[in-house]
Order: sequence, then structure tokens, then C-alpha cells
Amino acid sequence: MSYAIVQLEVTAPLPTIALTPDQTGVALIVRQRDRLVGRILKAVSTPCTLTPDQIKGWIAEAIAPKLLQESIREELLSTLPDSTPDYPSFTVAICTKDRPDNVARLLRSLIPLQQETGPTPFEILIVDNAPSDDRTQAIVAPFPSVRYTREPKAGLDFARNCALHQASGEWLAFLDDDVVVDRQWFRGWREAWAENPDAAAFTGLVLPYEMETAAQILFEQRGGFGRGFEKIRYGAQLPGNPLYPCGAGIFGAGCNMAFKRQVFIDLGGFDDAPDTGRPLPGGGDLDSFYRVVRAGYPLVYEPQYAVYHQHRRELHQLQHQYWTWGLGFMAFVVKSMQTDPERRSHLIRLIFWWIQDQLGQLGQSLIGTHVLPPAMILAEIWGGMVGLCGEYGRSQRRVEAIRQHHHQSQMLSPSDAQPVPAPERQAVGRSQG
Amino acid sequence: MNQQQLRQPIPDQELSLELVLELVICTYNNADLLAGALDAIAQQQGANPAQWGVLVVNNNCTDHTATVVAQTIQSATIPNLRMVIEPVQGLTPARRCGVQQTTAPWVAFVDDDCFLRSDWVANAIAFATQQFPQQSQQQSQQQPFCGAFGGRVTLDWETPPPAYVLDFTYCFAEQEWGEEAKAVDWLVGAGMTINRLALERVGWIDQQFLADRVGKQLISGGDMEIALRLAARYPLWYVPDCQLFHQISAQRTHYDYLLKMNAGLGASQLFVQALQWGQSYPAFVLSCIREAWKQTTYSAKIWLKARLKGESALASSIMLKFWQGYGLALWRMVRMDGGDRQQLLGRAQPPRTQPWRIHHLDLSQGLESLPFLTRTQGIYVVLWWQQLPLGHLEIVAEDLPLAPTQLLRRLLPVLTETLGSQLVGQGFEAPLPGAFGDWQQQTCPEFDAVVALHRPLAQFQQMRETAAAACQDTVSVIICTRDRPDQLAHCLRSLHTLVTPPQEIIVVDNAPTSDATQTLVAQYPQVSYVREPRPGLSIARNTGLQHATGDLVAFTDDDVDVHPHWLEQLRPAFRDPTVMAVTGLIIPAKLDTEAEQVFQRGSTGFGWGYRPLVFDHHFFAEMKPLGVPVWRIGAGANMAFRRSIFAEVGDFDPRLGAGASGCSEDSELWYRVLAAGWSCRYEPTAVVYHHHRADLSSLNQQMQAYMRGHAVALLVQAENPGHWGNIRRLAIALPRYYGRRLVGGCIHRFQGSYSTVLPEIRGLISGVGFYLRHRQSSPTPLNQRALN
Repeated sequence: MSYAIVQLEVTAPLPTIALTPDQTGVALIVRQRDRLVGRILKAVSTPCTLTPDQIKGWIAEAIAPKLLQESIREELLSTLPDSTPDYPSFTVAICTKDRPDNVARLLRSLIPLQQETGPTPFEILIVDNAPSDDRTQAIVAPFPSVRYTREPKAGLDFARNCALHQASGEWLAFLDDDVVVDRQWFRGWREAWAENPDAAAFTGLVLPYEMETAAQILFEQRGGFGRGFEKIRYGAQLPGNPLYPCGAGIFGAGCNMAFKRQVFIDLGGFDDAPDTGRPLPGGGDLDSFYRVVRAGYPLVYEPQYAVYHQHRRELHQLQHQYWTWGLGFMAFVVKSMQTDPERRSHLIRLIFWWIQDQLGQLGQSLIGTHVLPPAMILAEIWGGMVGLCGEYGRSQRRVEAIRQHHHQSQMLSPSDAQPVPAPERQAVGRSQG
Repeated sequence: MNQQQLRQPIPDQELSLELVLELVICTYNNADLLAGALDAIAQQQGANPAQWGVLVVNNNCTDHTATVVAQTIQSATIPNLRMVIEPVQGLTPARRCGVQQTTAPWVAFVDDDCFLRSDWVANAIAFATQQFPQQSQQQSQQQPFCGAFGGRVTLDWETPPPAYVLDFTYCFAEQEWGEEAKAVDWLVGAGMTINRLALERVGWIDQQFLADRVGKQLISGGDMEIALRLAARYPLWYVPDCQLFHQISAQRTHYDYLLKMNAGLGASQLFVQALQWGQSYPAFVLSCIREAWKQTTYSAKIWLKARLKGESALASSIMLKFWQGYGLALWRMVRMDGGDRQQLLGRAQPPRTQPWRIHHLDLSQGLESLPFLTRTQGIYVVLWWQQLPLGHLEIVAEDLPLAPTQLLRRLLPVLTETLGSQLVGQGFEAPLPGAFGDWQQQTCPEFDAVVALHRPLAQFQQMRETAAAACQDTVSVIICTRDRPDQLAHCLRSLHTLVTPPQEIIVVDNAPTSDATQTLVAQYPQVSYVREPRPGLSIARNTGLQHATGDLVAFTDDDVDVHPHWLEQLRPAFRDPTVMAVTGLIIPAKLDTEAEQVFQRGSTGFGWGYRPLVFDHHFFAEMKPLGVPVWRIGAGANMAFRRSIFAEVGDFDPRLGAGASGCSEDSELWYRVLAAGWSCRYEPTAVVYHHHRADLSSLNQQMQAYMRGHAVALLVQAENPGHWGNIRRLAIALPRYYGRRLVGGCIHRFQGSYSTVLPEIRGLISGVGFYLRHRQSSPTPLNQRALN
């Protein structure tokens, strides 16, 4: 059971797609003049061959207005005076731990973009997080344009904070190691920046890298990380959402995000406590987006700033992921209630909204109108309950222990000192205070 | 409102020849200072001399003022310098004279003791012309985005003043609000630069309430009144770069002068409060007494303390004098006669509802940014591609300013809807109105048709031009009017801007009480005048029809301005031979008042969108059992018929329409057209601008008339055998709807969109009564008429 992922360009003649017998469906990633305009999932009866007419019908049904909208946009943009803005410098940081193959795959997609940006290419920074061997370093070695650094304290947010201080770019993008960037990714960032010079954070579209297993198909059918193909600007308020800016993952996903570096350092950088693997393996991105928006900076979602994410392959991994979503979300809510007392009532209402929403989904799942089986939804609810019951505090203590341990080991063996300075304690402390 | 002119960019040279700013200097026996002020003006740098001028208003000066001005004119150091004499003594009459004797869109009041910094004029012109980026002169006249602006006023003491005087710099109109230009609530009179159109709109030129300093008598307040009346309706701006130096002579810092000045200021303080007062007169008096008592005792306490300590009590004496002036003015006000008092109270009260600014944006000229605005709910942006309307956006004030790229993001969905329906059609149809909500056809667009659209806006333009060129039908335009020559004059003026002139324009003067309309129409040789003594809009329309000779007959109202391309776009809508009636888009001319906003949003507002609609016999058959929503086809202010259809389905029913039951003479005729198997089309590219009723009471009357006419129309339509849907609507659907509205109205205290519920219900009930009274006079029923 798998889905074929096919990239289509609507202005070129459409291909005939022959599906192999084990392909039970197709995911069409539709482009118009190379801009991403839509993603269409279709289950088909196997084996079959899709004719261009069939594909045209699907596209017209799903995204015809979007195609027209892009043509209008192009025409109106041509009325604006041509100007090449002075783009700020840009660093992309990849935080990874013991997944050299993934890093190699991502670099293969990223380095062509780096080369085509002209005389001052953007910087690529690999943050190797408490690696157990030198394989990642070996992968990076042949690329002179890639910087490598190490963060000895295990934890994604330690690595992200390390990148925050090590990077040289005015803007800093973060990519997870399980993604591959789209060929328009960097241009997407430039477009978003040119349109929103006042924004302090961008998030982007996340498309499936592969749909080979039932778990991956399920995840994508439920919407994946999808925020759609329209630009969204999250400012001081969002019409129609009374709880805004408190919300569950409305801003985008942490596997593809970018921050204005100095602004984010001034906001205190990443909170170290979430995203440390067990016991709290998520929620750091939610927290950082929330803090940016609460500090009064716009956050912009840009669909052209797109990556392809390799979803969890196994069902039990997927179930675990939903569990961590619930956990990370609630940990974020608990933390924000402490740090942002002004919005406490919003956050409490958000908890109730979330529980109600999850129970509704569970009900749908039980009567068979939801793509997910009940077990997955229960996992997310269970994760949420655990998160609500003091997981954030436990994680904070654990992170403190890691820090202490690291500090001691540095004191004991100064010769072993890492080339990487630890993130500034003060900044981290502020974010938790 | 001439769209064609708006869209043509004005050549730079021509613009520079027009005056942008005129300085008005009112002077009375102050020739020496005036010479200095003129000298400072002669030093102005950086401004184009063709863009500004100076007018000295000589208020019966007996000194050598005239000589000073004549000498300056001779030296030719100031562009366009003139002097006029205002015989009525007083600063307010002099200012009024200054405004009337100048023509520039911006008028600056400069006192004879104000010396302008050498870049004042250049900065003022820069601000006045850059108010709204890319906005042409005419556009800014249409919608004043800034009522007035003023700059920094710095005091220039002739002799160093005593320390206590520095507490009273307000007496000398000091103005210092920081380094940045910003919107403010209030401006001092010195150097205040006023938008002429805004001043006209608030009615100051016609009527001033506060007399200003009369001769040497020191009572101020005239400039306060101007600022307050402007501020109630338009944003005021502080522009620090426009700096001027107010000369304070040694004599003006004397204790006696300050005492006199403050007594005057106290009086004007009271009158200014009166102008802004929003409640009853007794409440005003009470609040003033309370205020005066509080302030007087406070000042008296300080005076006493200072006296006991043997310190100088000059400052508190001046304050006491201020409140004495205030008290005396209150006494004057109490003894005033009732009519005069009513003139004062609440005349500059800010409106309860802030206006929406309407801005027409031609996208073919490029996207533009929208500026930050105060005292508005937001900007109602009408989107155009040259002469074609594409949609509108409501940008609330919190979202301003808005950059072009953000505007683009907001307008794309709107444009996609319109262009999809205009260019692709299938899959992009607008929902048709139904008895219960709108009725959307479920179709899927053609992939190839959508992908083939390259530069859709230009294609749309081309498509409409081709369609317009193919039409050769002749058109008669009929305007029915009754005793509104002023509005009719506007309408006729707009009709003369039509790019495809009609074959004839007929004005039907319906039961006039004077000859004003006839005199007006006589000025236009191309317009024929017909008098119809029997009152009633339907009768007037039928009379107009008898005189019409064109293939098509287009109706519009006297409270409407037509777009220059109105007829050009209206004609091609008749290409389909089954289309017998066409209606068009109606865009609000203003959305300033609550009444205008309620009307625009309400169920009867003109909100049919920017996508064409076709109402055919399928639609009629589908809706017949529940009552065909013919009132949603359009409005009489913008409609046209094939002249041949009247022979088939008959004229307008005289029981309907203004002057009889109220309205619906248009929709009842469409009902007959549809019942006879023909189609009606809504064509949004044919545009007129409608002036909605500006005050709530006339809106209420209008809504009552609408519902009255609606009820009668339903009963008239039900005269046709088998057309039970009309009765069903009148007896079931409407009572149920108004039951709900009544409950909602009670909850919302009949405010906002609920403010017209009660008049509407009254209208419905009286409509039924009207029908029963006029049943006998019914002309031939529909089926017989159709047979004839």
C-alpha cells in the first residue's frame, strides 16, 4: 500500500501516470509556472493508468480558483515597479542527531539553491547535537560551503539556541533533518521577506516526501502539517478566532521555520525544556511562535517556502507522534500560563476547546467518519493529559540536570572543552521567567 | 463624481499651474508687524511659486496697511499676492471673506504677527499633496482624508516675559507636540491650514456660531470653532515641519492684557464646550456650574495661600479671571433666547458612528498603499480595472496603514470570484438569490479554460470593449424627479460625461411645486423636459415611456450620479434576445453617517455583488411556489428595458412606486417579464453611484415606504391565478422573519441594523391596508395584459 507522489506543471502538457499494482492512490503536487498551487490526494482502484483528462478534471474540481488567482496575481505584480530589494543575510541551520543519511539527503537539495543565489550565497550551518560518532561530520566534510558545529548538551532546543548564537545571518531558518527543501524554498523566503519586512518569523508549507506506508498515508490524509496554499499573516488579531494568538499549531510547523535572529535572541531564544526527547519531545516551536506574536511581531506563513517531510513510517511511530503532539501542546499551554498571565483565561478556554475538539474527533472516529483510528486520537488525548499534569516542570528539572552535568564535565576536563560555547544562561533564564 | 477624469493622470505641468495653497492674512491696524510677516513670506524657499499665493484681508484698517501691501506687490517677492477689504469688523468675518475670495483646495490662516519659517510653504504643500499617495487632485476633493493641519507654533518674545507668564503660553497659541507628524484632536488657529472641501462640508462658511475678537475686544473662539467642527468629522494632523514664530509684543505680556485675554478665553471655553455638548441644555448648565465652582474655589484657595505667605498671586488672579469670564459667558448663555441657544448646543458634536471612507482604486494604474487614518471605521476600497468594477474590500482602521503587497493578498480572492465568473463562467457562477438563502449551482470549471487565462484583467477589459463595440441599440434615458433640483443638477452633470451619449435624455417633472426643475433643465438643450402633474413615480415613468423613442429605455434617479461608461456597459447586456430587462451595480457615493451604513448593509441595500446574474424562466419556475425574489434583481435607480416589452407586459403599475404605495414598481414589472417567459440580467459593469439617505429619520421613512410597496407588490402579483407564492411570503415567511427581527431588535435596543425594524413592520401592515383600499382601481390583471 503506497501512494505515488507526482509533481505536475499545469502550464505544460499533463502526463499520463501509470500506477504500479501496489500503488493505491496518488498525491498530485500541482505547480503553475513553477509556483506551488495545490496538493490533491486521490485513492484509486489498482492497477490503473491516469489519463491527462482525468487529472485535469481533478485539478479543475479542487483548485481552479487558485489557478486563476495566481494568473491575476502575476498580472497585478507586473504593474508594480520593478525593484530588487536589499535582502538581509540568511543562514539555514540544520539541527541533527545521529542521522547522517538524512543530512546528506537534505544537503543534496539545499546546496544547488545555495549555489544559484549569486555572489553572496546563504550560509548552511549543521548543528550536530551530542553525536555518538563522527559520521555526520564526515558527511559534511566534502562540502566547503557548509559549516559544522557541535552542541554537546542533548536536546533539540539546546541545538537551536546554539545555532541562534553561532549563525552569522540576519535571518535564521531552521530545518529538521527529516526534510528535503523544494526548489522554490529560498525564493519563497525572499518573497515572504519582501512582502513582510516587518515580520519576525516565517513558517512554510510542509508536503509529504514519500507516502510509502499506511502510517504515512494516514498522516497525510489527516492533513499532515498542512496550512494550505494561501499566504497568511498573523498579526495582532485574527478575525474569527477569539482565542488567538493562543491556539494549537495554527502558525505552522517547527520543521520549516525562520526567525529574525536578533529579535528572537532578544526575546530570549528557545526555551530549552521542550523538545529534549523523552519526557518532553515537542512543543518548542509552538512556544517560540507564540512568544514572537505576543511580542507584537507579525508571523507569516508562506506556501512557496516549502519543504518535503518524511513522515513516520510505522503506525506505532505515528501513534507516538500524536502522543507527543498532545504532550507538547499541553506543556506549552502550562508554560504559557506561568509566563503570560495576561492571557491565562484564553489559555484555560483553549484547554477546554482542545479537549472538546479531541473528543469530537474521537466520536467521529468511533462511528467511522474520521480517517484516524480511535487509538491514535486517544494517544493524543493521553499525551495532552500527561502534559497538563506537570510534564513541563519535570522537563525543566531534567534540562537543568543536563546543564549541570555538562557544566561539571567541562570543569573536570577543560582539555575536552568543546569549540562551541554554551548558550547564554541568562537569555534562557529570561525565557523561562 | 467623474470616474473618467479620475482615471486620467494629470500631466505634471498642468498640476503645477494650479494653486494648491493660499495663505490668508487677516489684519487690523497692525501694519508694522504685517510688514514683518510679509517679509518672512517673501523669504520662502523650495516651493513652486505657481502653486501658492497670499491674500491679505484688510479689515477696515486705518493705518498704512494698504501701502505696505502695495509696496510688497510692487517688489514682486511674493507670488499671487492680493489684498481685499472686508468692511464687517471682526476676525471671523475677515476669515470667512478670505475663504470666499480664494480658490485653492487648501487655505492657511496666518495672523499678521506670525513669521513663517523659510520652508513653511514648501513643507505645507508637500504635506497637502502627499496626503494620499498617488491620489489625484480631484480624488482628494472628493474625500477629504485630512480636515486641516497645523505645525509647530513657537513663541518669539519681544522682551523676556516675567516667569509667571510662561504658565500662560496657551494664550499665545503655542503648539508643540513633538518631532513626528501625527493625527491630533485639536489645532491652534495660527498657521492652521484647512481643506476647503472639509470646511464646506461642515457648513462653517454658511454659518459661524462663535464671534471672534471684534476689533480690539478680546474674545477668541472663532478658530477653536473651526478646529472643533472639522475635528468632529475629519482627521486633523500636526505637521511639525511647518514651523512659525508667533511674535509676542511686550505689551501682550502685561498683567492687564493677560487678565483681559483670559476673561475672553474663559468665555470661549464655555462656548466651545457648548458646541461639543451631546446632552440636554439643563444638563449642560449643571455641568458648567459644577465645573466653574470647582475651578474657582481651587484658584481662590491658591490665591489665598499665596497672599498669606506674601508671595505673588498674579498667576492665580489670572486663573480667577478666566473662570470669571467662563461664568459670565454661562450667564449670557442662560439669558440667550431659545433659538440662538439651540444653534450653539451640540453643533460640533462628533457623530456617534464614524464614517467609512470610500476610495476608488484603479488597479491598472498599479497597486498603492493605504494610509493610516483616524476618525474612520476604515476604508471601503472599490476595486477597478479602468472602467470595470471588480469588487470592494472593507479595510478596518486597525489594519491601516496597508502596504501594496498586503493589499494584493486581501484583494486576490475578491478578484478571482469576479474574473472567474466573467471570463470562465462555468464553475464560477454567482449564487442566485433564493427564498431561503442563496442558491448555488454545482458545476465544475473547465481546466483548459482556466489555465489558458493569461493576463485575465486585460482580457476582461478587451472582452467588454468588444462587446460594447458590437452594440448599436439606441437608448433613451428617463429621470423622474420631484422638487429636488440640486440633486438633479448633479445627476445631469454626470450624464454629460457619458462616453456613449444616449439618443435622448428625458426629465419627467412629477407634480412639481415650483419651476426650479424646469429652469434647470432649460440650461441643457439636449435634455427634454416633460411635466406630469399627477403625482406618483409609476405614473411619471409611464409618461416618460410615452415620450421615449430609443430601442432601449434606461431609468435612473435624481439622487444618482452615473459612471461615464454606464450606458456603454449596459447595452451589451441586451445581446441575448431573451433578456428584456437589465439592472446594474449601485455603489454608495458616501458612507459617512450611520443611516448610510445601515442602508448599505441592510437587506434592502444594493448588495448584489460584482458577478453577472441571469434570472430566467427556470429561476421563476423554481421560486414560484415560495414567492419569486424579484426585489433581488436590482433597483430602479439603475435599470433598463427593451422598449418593446412594455407593449407585451404593460406599463408600471400606478398603485406602486413612490407617491403611491412606496416602491416595488420596478420589481413588479420584472415579475411580469419573468412570468411571460423572458429573462432579466444583472450586469455589474454598468455602474451608478447612489446617495443614500444621510439621516436615520428619512432612512426610516424610506424603509417604511419600501416595505409598504413590497407588501402591495406581493398582493398585486398574487392577482394572477395560481401565483400563491406571493401570499405565502406575505402571510408566512415575512411574519416569521419579522418575529425574529423583533426579538433581535428588543435585545439590541433597535440599534444598528435593527434600527429600521419597526418602520418596516409598520410599512408592511399599512401596505396591506393600502392594497385593500385601492383594489377597485386595479387595472387589467396580468394574464389579460399579457394577452393584449
